[in-house]
Amino acid sequence: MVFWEKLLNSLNKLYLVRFLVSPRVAASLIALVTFFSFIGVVIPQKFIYPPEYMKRWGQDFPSLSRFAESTGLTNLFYTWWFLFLLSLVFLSLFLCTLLRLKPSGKKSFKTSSFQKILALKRKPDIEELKSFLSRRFYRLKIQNEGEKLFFVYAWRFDTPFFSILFHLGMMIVLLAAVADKSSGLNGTALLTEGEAFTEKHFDYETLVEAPFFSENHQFFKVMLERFDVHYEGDVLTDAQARVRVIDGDFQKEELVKVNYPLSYKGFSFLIDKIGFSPLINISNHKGETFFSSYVSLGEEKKQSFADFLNLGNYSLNFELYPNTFNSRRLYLPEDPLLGIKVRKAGKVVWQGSLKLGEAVETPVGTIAFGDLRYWVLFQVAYSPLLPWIFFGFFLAVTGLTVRLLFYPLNICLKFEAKGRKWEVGIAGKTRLGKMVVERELKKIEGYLGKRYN
Amino acid sequence: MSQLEEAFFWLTLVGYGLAGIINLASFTVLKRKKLLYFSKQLGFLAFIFHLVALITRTVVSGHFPVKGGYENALVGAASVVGLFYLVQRYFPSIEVVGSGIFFIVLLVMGTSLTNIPPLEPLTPPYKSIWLWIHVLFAWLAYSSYTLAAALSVLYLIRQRGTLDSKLLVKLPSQEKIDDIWFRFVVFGFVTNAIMIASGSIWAHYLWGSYWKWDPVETWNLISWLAFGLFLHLRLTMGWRGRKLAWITILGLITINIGFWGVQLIPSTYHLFRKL
Repeated sequence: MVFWEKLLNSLNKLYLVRFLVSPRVAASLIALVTFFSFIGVVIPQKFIYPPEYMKRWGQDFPSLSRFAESTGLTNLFYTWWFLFLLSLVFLSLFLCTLLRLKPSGKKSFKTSSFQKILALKRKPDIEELKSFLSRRFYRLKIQNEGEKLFFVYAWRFDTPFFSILFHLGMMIVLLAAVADKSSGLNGTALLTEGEAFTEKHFDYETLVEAPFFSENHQFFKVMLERFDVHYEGDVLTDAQARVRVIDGDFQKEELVKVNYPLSYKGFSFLIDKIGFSPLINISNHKGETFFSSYVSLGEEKKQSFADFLNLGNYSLNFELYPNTFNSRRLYLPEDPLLGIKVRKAGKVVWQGSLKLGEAVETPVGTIAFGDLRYWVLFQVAYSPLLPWIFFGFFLAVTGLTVRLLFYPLNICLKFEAKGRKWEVGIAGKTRLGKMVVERELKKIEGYLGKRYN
Repeated sequence: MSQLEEAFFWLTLVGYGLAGIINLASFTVLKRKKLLYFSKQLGFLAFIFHLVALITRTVVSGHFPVKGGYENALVGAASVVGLFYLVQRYFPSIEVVGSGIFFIVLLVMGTSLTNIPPLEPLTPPYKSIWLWIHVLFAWLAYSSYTLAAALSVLYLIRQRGTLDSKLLVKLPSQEKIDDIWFRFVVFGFVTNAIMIASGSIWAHYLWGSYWKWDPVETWNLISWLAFGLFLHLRLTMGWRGRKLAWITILGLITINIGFWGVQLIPSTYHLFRKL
């Protein structure tokens, strides 16, 4: 304890520490973060807006965009100076929290005048008064000064604990968020029904690894067994993927929905996009199959899904029309039509369409439309420190709620014998407004009047 | 919008409009206390119509209104007026800010008419328990901040002291306004924090990321920080009065941009366009 106090005292002597914990600096830091966050929403950010929008914005405001580009304002939230500002906020929070742990000594209660004076017929029973105040969450410090005069001091929630809890929670959120962004992963995995994805670098469709992720792949498999959609009218009301996780001998089945991702070993698999995958088989003139795969067609425009395939000198364009009627519903079509264009050196050399199960002779070979399934693009996120972030939120919200909604209050009651009667003076103070005190004192007054008159 | 909902929506607008005008007139032009009482009753009747419109919308669409600008405005405005009437039971003197409240609500509901989503079931992104926690606390925060801002305007009016002395007598004391206004900021700040935290958890389950610096997220963070600054300045630096009143008004502007400006932002996850 002595060591702790010595440490805090010596810390308090440092100019930099005193500077960072001063309310002015804390307020200025909050104001600066507010200001730069404002700039960050006024100036479009590269990681939110699509490149075409950024380009158009650059053309509309050439000088502003040049300035924003050169100062990093188009990527503001990830610039070194914004992160430095957040570090200062963290440091200020940390030091404030640390220095608040220092015992603040006895609380003095200076009251020049009692806000309420009332007369009681009987002498109050200290034990009864104690239990009444305890029921109202007061910590009591009773000071007796003889038979004719005594004081009762009490304070409620007047502890730095919840303020510290809030600051501690915010620190955990900030620290865990930085650590999480530095060691997490964000990617996408495209799976057609029946296919499996292995959690390794090259199985991802797109992948962004944080600097400290260090290829920490887990090599478990996720297999998409089945995908279903449900519509009410033309509105999609449910989309669910039945997946199987295979990790060595361990296997489990899960139903993944929007808002209900698959969670395994800190990885989350979320349904992002869906589409159709026709099975395309292409064989040469000798009947040997040289291409056989599901081709994932992306939604090109309303009611059509398309993709292209490069095969040596030829390129093939596929376009699927799942529904022949005017609908946005993406049920697996019973009678789909697959449009095919074969191009050579950019020129269309063949075009036609196939129904499911049909095959056709083309310059590139015999193309067969063998099967049709759903594909699902899963967004994969690895956030190793997510539990800490949520824990930080919990601490911060708890601390804030108790600190601000359960009003801290100090009260003082003075009892003085005046002949056969007793005169009581009641005083109270809080930093949260006079009305709080008035209401509380009214309740105490009511209790005393009812009990001892 | 169903016919019944439309009828009650317009009745609500007319009711709030008249209540606001009568409230303003009661302590400016006509100076009759009876009119203030009448405005209160009329406003409450309009609030009942408002609730009928809201219930009709819920029944016809099959879900509580949480989609698009119109539905959010319908609930947001109801929560502001509801909180106003609830708080009036404990602090009757705040009835004078009624005109401010009714005009803000009129503005919010009127502008929402430009974005009325079709009556249809909720899409998968909206099916989460976190959505309900998030929007419940969003509306609590929004209504608290709106009332706090209305009171801070009243504080500024009271402080200027250039008003007719008879009128000044009718207004609550500066100390009382300051007290109630501060408590609304405190309540708004706590509910705003819960709103941001629950939104972040929901975002993790929906988008795989708890924070994306999305414009709507950032605007809400700005509002929270602005009110955090307010509390810091008041509790640790002992600020009072005019400057804090302006911070509250500024805070309400940022909150409104966060809520309603979302429809103007070309790229935000908060439009739930994706699956």
